[in-house]
Amino acid sequence: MIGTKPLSMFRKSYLYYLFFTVIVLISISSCEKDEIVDVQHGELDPKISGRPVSINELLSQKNLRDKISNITSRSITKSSVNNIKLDTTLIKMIQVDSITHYTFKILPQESDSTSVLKNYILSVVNDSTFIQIIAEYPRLGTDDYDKSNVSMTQVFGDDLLPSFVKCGMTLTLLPALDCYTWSCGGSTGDGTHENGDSECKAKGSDRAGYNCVTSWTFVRGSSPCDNGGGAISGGGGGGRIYIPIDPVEDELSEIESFYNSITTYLNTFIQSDAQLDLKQELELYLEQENYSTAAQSFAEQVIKAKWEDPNAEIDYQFKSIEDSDIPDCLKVIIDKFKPDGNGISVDVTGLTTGLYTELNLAGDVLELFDNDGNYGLRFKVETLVPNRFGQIPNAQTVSGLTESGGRMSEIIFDQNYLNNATDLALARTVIHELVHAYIKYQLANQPGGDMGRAIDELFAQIFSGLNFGDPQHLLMANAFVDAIANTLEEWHNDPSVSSIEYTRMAWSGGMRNSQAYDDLEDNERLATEFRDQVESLGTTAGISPLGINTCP
Amino acid sequence: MKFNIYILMLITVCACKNQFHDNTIKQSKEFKKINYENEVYKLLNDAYRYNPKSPIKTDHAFIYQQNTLNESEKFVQSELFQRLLNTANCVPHYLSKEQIEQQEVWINDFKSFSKGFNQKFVTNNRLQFVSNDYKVADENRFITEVSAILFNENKAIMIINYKGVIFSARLYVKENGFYKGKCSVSDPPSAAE
Repeated sequence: MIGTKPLSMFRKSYLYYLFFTVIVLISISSCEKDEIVDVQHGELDPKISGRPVSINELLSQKNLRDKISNITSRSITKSSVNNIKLDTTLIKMIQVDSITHYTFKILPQESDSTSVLKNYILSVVNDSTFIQIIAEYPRLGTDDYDKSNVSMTQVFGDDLLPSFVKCGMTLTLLPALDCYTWSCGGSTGDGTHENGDSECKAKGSDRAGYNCVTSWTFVRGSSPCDNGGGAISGGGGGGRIYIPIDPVEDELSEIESFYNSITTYLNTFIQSDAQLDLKQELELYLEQENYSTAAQSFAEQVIKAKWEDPNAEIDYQFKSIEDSDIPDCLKVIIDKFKPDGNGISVDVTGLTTGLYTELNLAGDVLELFDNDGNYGLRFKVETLVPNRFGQIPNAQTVSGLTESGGRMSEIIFDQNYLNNATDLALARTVIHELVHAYIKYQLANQPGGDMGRAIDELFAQIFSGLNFGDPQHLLMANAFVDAIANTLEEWHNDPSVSSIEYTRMAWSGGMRNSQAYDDLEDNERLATEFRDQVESLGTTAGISPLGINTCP
Repeated sequence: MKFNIYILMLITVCACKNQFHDNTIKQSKEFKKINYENEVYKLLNDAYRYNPKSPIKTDHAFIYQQNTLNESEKFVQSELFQRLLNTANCVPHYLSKEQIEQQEVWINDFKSFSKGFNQKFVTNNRLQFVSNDYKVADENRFITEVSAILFNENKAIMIINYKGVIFSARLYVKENGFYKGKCSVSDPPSAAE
């Protein structure tokens, strides 16, 4: 009995364990879709494209409607990945071969760790087969994530439940760089836009340009645990589905983006408590200007100017900055050129038709900088050093790209000139330098326009020895003398002064190193230089100037 | 006797040769004097002729009769003259190294020139020499004084002034038989802008 009963019991328990083991093995083998990842870079050669899509566009697709509405219409609380709620403001659609992948940002919940960015990736294999992944990126800073250290979890069903222990696939990160043109939205995005351009903004995206996927994961075979249960096919690679891991990051607010775009020291400066008023002023200005590139560029220059000169005066309307060393006497002269001052216009009626059309200077030059925006002006006073010919300039205009991509001209007056010159000479210099700034503005904005071609031709003449001087002054000597003279006459508004004196005043600085100036009669050139001397020095040998020395 | 005759002939030949040499020098100086005077009037006639390209066109160009051309040599050492040769942008195109570096090449027979210009040598109907007390109808027109004129080869430099306050030195180059102004500098120098 003892011998049989234990044997019988042993057989019974043996069969029981055998049966149990077989069931477990079947269970494991039927569900397990583990894949040994052994893919080298280069094996991936996907045809890839992408653009942002709106939630409405997704809902309009029959095969996605139910799925998308189920996962976006409510917080999914059944999942152990608690309270998943998708942010539908930006959905990245990336098409890889014939399979489309959608990446959503998961809205952080109160209980979520702030140190992780979560994304939901929906890969649409066919009408009934989806692969769903939740990717988590460790956060490195405010808007920076560790993209090489992503953790992925495959989830299932509309409740986005994580896999049972053996039912999920092993998702392994595969570093591989694939870039593509990221068009700016709409079903027919053409991908020819740049970040932040107006068309893209109109389509709800400012991310057009080039986008790169830096890492992928992949699955192969069928996925019976997934809803739909169909076999995975397509996508190339012998049934392998390559899923792009391309995060949808936290959206920075426009003001945060602006502050992030400026140089660190300027950002530190503007964030300091002492600059709270300036910060509020700038934020109001940027909001009113809809955060245009021009406005951001000028705002950056304002911060820089205030960093350099806390008492600099800002005119947001005309995008002009006057440093505190600009005396009131010069401010009065500059302000007369502003439309809300005296509204003196640079009269360009004497220009050739082509230049006149292009210049479009119906209003003030300063107003132009406001209306046609990607440009600002800053006025400064310094003690200028002699140029390469040993001449100390009365003033000079320096132009260049700002760090935020806009353009700025700095008009710097020489302190000694300011002290000695009459208001007529200073007004002439303001006009002369504004014309420089405007030529530079035109060259930057329309390099192929009439102005650009005229300058190119003058460059070629100088290079080949057929002309001398510098192109901008040659252009001014050829085309702007009457414009400067008429503007100065309007500014001075003194009928007792003959018009010829304003024409003489119009010839200044490098404009005299020109054939046009040499074509003047000898006596007239002498008269021109004499008038300039008298007005620039305030007085010469007892001869009274036409203007008044207002800045002694 | 024969010896004496030879000596006499030799003395005669030498004397004749000396006389010929002296005459040649006198003739040469006379030529230079006439040449400088001619060139001065040629330059003035050319410089002040009607220029259709000039933005400001006037019927007359006035120059004071009185001039200081016989003192032109002192301007060769002047800062204005040096500045013209060394900084004017057209100079390297037109002047040789010798003309830029060796000021003595610009010295002419200045002393021979009369202190007053003579209208009868003016072939240009715009140029008018006027006395110091002349009043121009249009007070915006300038009457200038010619301070110095210097020639070398087919180049000329003319220095003029207004009331002794402002001076201008200008380089002219003879092209197709006419002097043509190329570039100038002024004293006090004009500032850059």
